[in-house]
Amino acid sequence: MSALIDPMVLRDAAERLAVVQARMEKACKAAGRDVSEITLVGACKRQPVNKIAASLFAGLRNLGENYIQGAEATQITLPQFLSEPSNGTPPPLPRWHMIGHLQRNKAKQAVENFETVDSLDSPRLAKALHRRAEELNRTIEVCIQVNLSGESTKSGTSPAELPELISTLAELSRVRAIGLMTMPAPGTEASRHDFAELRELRDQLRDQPGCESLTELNMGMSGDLEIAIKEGATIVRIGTDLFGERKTPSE
Amino acid sequence: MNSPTDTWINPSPLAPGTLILASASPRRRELLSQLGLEFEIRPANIDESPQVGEVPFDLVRRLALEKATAIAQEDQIGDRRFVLGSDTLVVLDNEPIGKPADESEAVRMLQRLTGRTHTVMTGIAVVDAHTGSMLAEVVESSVEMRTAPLEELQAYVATGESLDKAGAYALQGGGRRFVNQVRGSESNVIGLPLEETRTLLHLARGLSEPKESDSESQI
Repeated sequence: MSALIDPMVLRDAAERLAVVQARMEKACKAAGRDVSEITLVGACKRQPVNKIAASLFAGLRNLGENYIQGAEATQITLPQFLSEPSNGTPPPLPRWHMIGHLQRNKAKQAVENFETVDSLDSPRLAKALHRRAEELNRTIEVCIQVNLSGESTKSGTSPAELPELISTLAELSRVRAIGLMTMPAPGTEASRHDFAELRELRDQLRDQPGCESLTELNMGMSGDLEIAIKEGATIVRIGTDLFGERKTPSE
Repeated sequence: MNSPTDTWINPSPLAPGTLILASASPRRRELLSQLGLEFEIRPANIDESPQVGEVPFDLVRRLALEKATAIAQEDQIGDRRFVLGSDTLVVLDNEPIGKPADESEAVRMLQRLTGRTHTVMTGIAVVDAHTGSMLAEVVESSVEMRTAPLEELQAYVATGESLDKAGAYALQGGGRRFVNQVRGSESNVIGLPLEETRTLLHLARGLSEPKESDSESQI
């Protein structure tokens, strides 16, 4: 397989990243925040490796995958693109975020392939991650996914179940909870409401002993980036705006 | 354990005329047919030698991806956009065991494997030739073998079943007599993990992952 990236693809990736960063800077300015507080995660589900590599050359440092199998394929092919001299100065390897729903029986692969699981939603999953991380002599970061909209189709723990999950996490030395994540209900006003609620939830939790490390607010995607930043987001995830339209093969 | 019935009640994960199997193995062909799939066979010829320091896990994953990529980059792909590649290794003490060159090597391999537990690793990969996107996974099963006297090993090898098999035995054939227990996917030990392959094809199509069964099926 050729590891050479087409210069057009490299240029396109750099332009797309610049547009997203400009949006983030503008939103930060409006909210009186500093853009360095915010981590941009490139959601790269079903994107080809050359485009993903091009974004890393352009300066992207965090990648998000919905599926273990996607990360496993990308991670083994990425290094040859990053080390190909004609593509430019090799960028550092990215930090990987698991952004999709994680099945418990995939906990081992999750610990092997990701730095952060952004979608922790149950004490059982937390325990499975701890056990696998211990075997591999690692620690894994997690964001707790909170389902604020109450939609049963969405993953996440309900606010009522949150205390139980947090007390479980306090006993798991290999799992480090760094913040909260939410997927808001559709619509601008609903998103704003859910984002504000997640921030309030974090602020309440942070005052409790043992929860000082819960600082991140992982919320906001392409359509609601500005609202999320205004409401305090510290981790945002962007997909097609960074990598281009995905050709959906389902038809 | 995987529930074998899942395979039968779930519908085919791909439309007819869209899949290529990048393998010449008749056992993989038979297993893939069990998923109710129609597919074309185009064996990939790639350099299968390991890289310096490459562990078996990384090797089977890389080879599966390279086989699928090699076919996906050929001309004349047309509507058959999904290419499935796979590679299986028998691993004992972190060391891969290949196919025996002759009958005496087959007996020596079985002498090492019997009375112990080894791992069978299969890398599976799907490349979408139209978009260039890729998915891959390594599936591991452990196989516990009983002890067996030399005469029994020699008698088994004399049947000829050993010679084109990694580890010199076939779980689906006479080799089962040596196996006490398989933990994990049995089809993986034969050459293609069916449940995981079905999931991978499902994801390649852009559908979400099939619902979690409540079992801890992975080892």
